[in-house]
Amino acid sequence: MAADPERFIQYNKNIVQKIFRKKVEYHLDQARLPIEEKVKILIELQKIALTIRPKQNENDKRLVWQI
Amino acid sequence: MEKTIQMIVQAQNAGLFSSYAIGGGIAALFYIEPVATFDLDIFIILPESSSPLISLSPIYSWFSDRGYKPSQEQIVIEGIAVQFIPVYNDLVRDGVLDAAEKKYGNTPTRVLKPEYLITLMLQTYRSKDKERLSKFLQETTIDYPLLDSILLKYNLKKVFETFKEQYYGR
Repeated sequence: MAADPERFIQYNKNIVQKIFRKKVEYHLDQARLPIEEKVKILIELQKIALTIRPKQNENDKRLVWQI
Repeated sequence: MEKTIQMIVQAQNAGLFSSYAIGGGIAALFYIEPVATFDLDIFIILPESSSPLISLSPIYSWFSDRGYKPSQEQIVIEGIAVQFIPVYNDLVRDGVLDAAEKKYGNTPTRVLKPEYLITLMLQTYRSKDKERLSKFLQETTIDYPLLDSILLKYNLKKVFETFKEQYYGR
């Protein structure tokens, strides 16, 4: 029996909507974290940023927070 | 960061500046999800002076005397690169004077309110400002009457409307 294309589209649409809803919730959860927790994440982001784009010269003063 | 804030408050108590507020990316961190940034921007109101020239030398000397050596335009205080930025226009001055009282750990501090940060982003309006603006609109509670009054005062209401149209189609 051939699949119902309308049902197939609706099924995929529901999945995509669910993914986007979860994504929004994730960002909101991150935004609602206590500042102290956000700083811990920030330090990890700083490490990642320096790994992706290492310092090119002495004028680059980017420094991972030492706290 | 708590020790850094405590040192900044000590500097204020020593009379190096009359008021301060955390601005930039770290102020944003108080309201939206974490985004990579390296500097702790501290907007300061310097004491009244007879000279028209602004000098940060007393601040650099004060911290240097306490073992925090300035490097270019920043001072590493307790492991964090801090930039002291004298208020450079009326909007930033208003933001510092009307800053939100927050706590980091057990230490009280002052942070620019989201409404001022939004207006500042509209004023500078770089691509990173636009990206951060959309996060503010989605992730934090905004006092819209306050935002409206600031936008009106600084003639940025139209820029805000244009931004919303471009990003949200309304």
